[in-house]
Amino acid sequence: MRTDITENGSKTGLPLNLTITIKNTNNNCAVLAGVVVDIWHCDKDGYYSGYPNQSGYLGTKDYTGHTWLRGRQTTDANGQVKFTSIYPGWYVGRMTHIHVQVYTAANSANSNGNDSVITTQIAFPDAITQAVYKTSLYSSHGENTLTFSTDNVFSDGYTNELCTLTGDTTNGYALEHTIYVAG
Amino acid sequence: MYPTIKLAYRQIIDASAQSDFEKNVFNDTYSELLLQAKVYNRDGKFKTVAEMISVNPKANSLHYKVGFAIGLYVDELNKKIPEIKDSLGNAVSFDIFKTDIVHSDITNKTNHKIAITYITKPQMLVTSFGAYLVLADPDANNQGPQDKMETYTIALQAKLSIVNYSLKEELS
Repeated sequence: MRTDITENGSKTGLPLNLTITIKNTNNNCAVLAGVVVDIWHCDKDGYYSGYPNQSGYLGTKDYTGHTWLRGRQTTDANGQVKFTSIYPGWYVGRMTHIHVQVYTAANSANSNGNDSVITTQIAFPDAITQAVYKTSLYSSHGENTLTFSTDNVFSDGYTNELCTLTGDTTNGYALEHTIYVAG
Repeated sequence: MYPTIKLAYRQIIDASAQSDFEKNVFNDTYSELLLQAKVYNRDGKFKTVAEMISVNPKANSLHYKVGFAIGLYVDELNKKIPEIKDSLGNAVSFDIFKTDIVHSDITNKTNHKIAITYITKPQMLVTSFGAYLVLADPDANNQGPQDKMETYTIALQAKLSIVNYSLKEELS
């Protein structure tokens, strides 16, 4: 079970504790246990682990062979997975986001015959993001001037993708988000 | 000051896997492929990753994503590249690994074939003769002058290649 996806703090940033709840639209939106949730996001500087030739403000980076800021868990009896991470940075062309894939038939306990994967992204309240990006760990990259209306994923609306954050720019944030799937 | 090189060794693992490591990699990369490929195969039309990539280039990510499933097995290698040795029979250390899917068939596991490429840290290229490289590990020679170094010798061979060359010594 991989909970701390910063790899024991090797990726620095403002702490972000995620709780993602999966609910089942095929069962009156009851929580859905036993499904696999994959998440991944960029580091504070806007780079992903896993692949080469990434352009960004620190130049072209190759993070082949690294797995930081990627995690997978199976939802518990409360339909939840929890990850310890950092507030994602940003890269040109996108608003701050976390990628999520939910595999609803990955566990035989979910045996309704559906065999699907849901791909989505978690969006962040922009006012908080802008405040985070003024803090010392993030400020060298500056502010992302993009808006949701010009983001190529969220421009068609993001209310379902928007997470709830509680906390502050000193101690970090707790992120809560619910994803509805046809389980 | 010597130039530095990175060596890469490509290990191919398929249904003929023998060691526990190879079997674990074979089984778990296939399971991971079946899981991850659903994203690019929603209608179940495709049999191979190549077909998925031809329709959606983002499916190319399957090559490295299946590698996330074997990180713990690779950890057990203790950073030693399998299969090859230097001229004294000592293992060669790698820094990072990456995976690519050589052949895939989500309907038939026996057709699954995966490659792991192990890449070393920059090694000082002291000299070379014939197919042999005389190398020095910067980590083992970071003290003292460079006119006396611990070196090792390795033959260039099938699936072993120099993938990076730098005139400036890059001590990562």
